[in-house]
Amino acid sequence: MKFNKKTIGMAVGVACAAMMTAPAQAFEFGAMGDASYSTSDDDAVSSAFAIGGLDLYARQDIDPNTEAFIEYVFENDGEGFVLDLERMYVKRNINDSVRVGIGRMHSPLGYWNNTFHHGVIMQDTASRPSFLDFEDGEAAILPTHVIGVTVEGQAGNLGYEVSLANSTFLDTTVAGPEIGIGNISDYSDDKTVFARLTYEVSGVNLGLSLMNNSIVEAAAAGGTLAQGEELIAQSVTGLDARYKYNQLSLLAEYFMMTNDSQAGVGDSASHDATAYYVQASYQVNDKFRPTVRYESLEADVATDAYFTILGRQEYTANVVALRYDLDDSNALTFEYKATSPDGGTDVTEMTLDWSFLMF
Amino acid sequence: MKILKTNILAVAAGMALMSVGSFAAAEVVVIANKSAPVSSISVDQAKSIFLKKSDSFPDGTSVVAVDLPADDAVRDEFYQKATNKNANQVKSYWAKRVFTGKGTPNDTQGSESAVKSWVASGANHIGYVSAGAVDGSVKVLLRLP
Repeated sequence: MKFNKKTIGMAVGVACAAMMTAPAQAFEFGAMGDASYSTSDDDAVSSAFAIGGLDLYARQDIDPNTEAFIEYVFENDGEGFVLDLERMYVKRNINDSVRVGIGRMHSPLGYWNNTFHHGVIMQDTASRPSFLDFEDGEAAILPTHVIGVTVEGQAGNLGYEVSLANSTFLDTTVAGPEIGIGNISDYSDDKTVFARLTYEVSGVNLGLSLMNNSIVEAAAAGGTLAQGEELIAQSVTGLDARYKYNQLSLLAEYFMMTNDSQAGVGDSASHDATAYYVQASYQVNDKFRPTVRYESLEADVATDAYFTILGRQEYTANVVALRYDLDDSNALTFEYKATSPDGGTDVTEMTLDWSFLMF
Repeated sequence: MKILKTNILAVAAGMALMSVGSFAAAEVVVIANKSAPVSSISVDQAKSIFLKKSDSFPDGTSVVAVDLPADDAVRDEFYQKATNKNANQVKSYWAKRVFTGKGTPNDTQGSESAVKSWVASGANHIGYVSAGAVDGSVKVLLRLP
C-alpha cells in the first residue's frame, strides 16, 4: 500500500507524537536498512550502488495482554521512494496457548517469510530466494502478506497459526501485475485461509503450511473476467525444515501449488507447480558465516494462467554468500548468484551489501 | 629516571580515574526469591533465562527475569559476563527479537534495591545486583566475579 508525501508527513508526525508521549509500557522503536553495490553480466543491467529499503518499526504492549506493532518501509518502486505499509496489527493473549490478532501481517507460509521479514541483516544471504520475493517483486509467486484475523499459539513443542484474510487479486490488463491484497477492501466475498503447524523434535524444527486462496480479477474494465470474479482457485502446501548442529545450519522449504483456472481463464485447466530451496550455512567464528543455497521453480508457465498472467519463468539458481559481522548491529555480505531461467539466458550477479540495525 | 617516574604516576592516575568512572571488575550476582526451587544455576542457564531463550529454572519451574535500566553499569557488567555481549549487542539482540516477533525485553526495575524487592516479592522472580547490594531478603544463585 503506497502513500503520497502528505500521508508520509502525517505518518511521521503521528509516530513522533507517539514517541514523545510514550506511556509507562516500553515503546520499542527500531530501524533497519542496507546499501549495496551490484554487478551483473546482463548487458541490460549496469553495475550500480543502491540503497535498500529503510524499515521502520515500533511495538508496544498497550495493555498487559495486548501488543500493537507497526512497520513501514521506505523503498524505491522504480519511480521514486514511497512509504509502504508492511505490517500493522494488534494481538491479544487469551491464555498461554491462544493469541488472537487482526491487521496486516506476514502470511504464515513457510519459515523465511515469517522470520526474516524485510530485514536484510536478519538473513545469511543478501537476497531472498527469488520465488519468495514480496508481492511487488518481479519474481513473486506467493502472497507474502495477509490482511485479516489470526489465531496462533504454542503448546509444548507444537505451534499453530490459522488466518482468514482478504483474497488475492490480479489486474489482468497490466503486464506482469503485482500480486495484490486489499488493505481496506476486498474484490470478493471469498476469503483466503491459511494454516501453519510447527513442531520441534530432536533439534529439528519442522513446519507445515497450507493456503486455500481465491485469486480474483481486479481490472474495472477490459480484464479477462469482470471485476471481482474468480480467476484462479489456488491451493498451496508448504513444508519446511531447519536443523542446527554445532556451527552448521540447514534450512529447506518446499511448496506445492495447484492452480485451477476458471472458465474463460487461460486453458481453464488445473496445473501444478513446485518451488523449493535448500540452504546450508556454517558459522566459522563470531564473524564469518559462509552460505550456499540452491533454488528451483517448476511450473507450466506456458499454459498455467497464474504464471502466464504474472509473467514468471521457471528457473534454477545457485547462491554462494559470505557474511562478515562487523558487530551484532551491522554486517557485510558478499553474494554470488547465478540464475538459469528456463529458455532464457543465464545471469550472474555479484552483490556486496552492508546491512544495519538501529535501535 | 624522572621521566619514567612521571609516566608511571600518569598511568597510575589514569587507571585510578578509570576505576572511579566505571563499574568494571566488580562482582555481580544473580539473585532469586528465597523459595526458588534451585540453589544455583550455571552461567549458560543464566544466559538462557535473561535472554528469554528459556522460561524455566533447571528443574522446570517457570521463571521471570527482570533487568536494571539500560544505562546501568551493573547491567552492562552482568551481560558482559553472563552473555559475552556489550550493551549495544544486547540492544541489538532485543531489537531483532522484537522485529521478528520472537520476544520482548525483560521488564526493568529502576535500582538495585528495587530489583531486590521485586525478586523477594515472587517465588519465580530472578534478577541481578552487585555483590555488595545482596542482603537476606534474597538468595544468590550465581556469582560472576
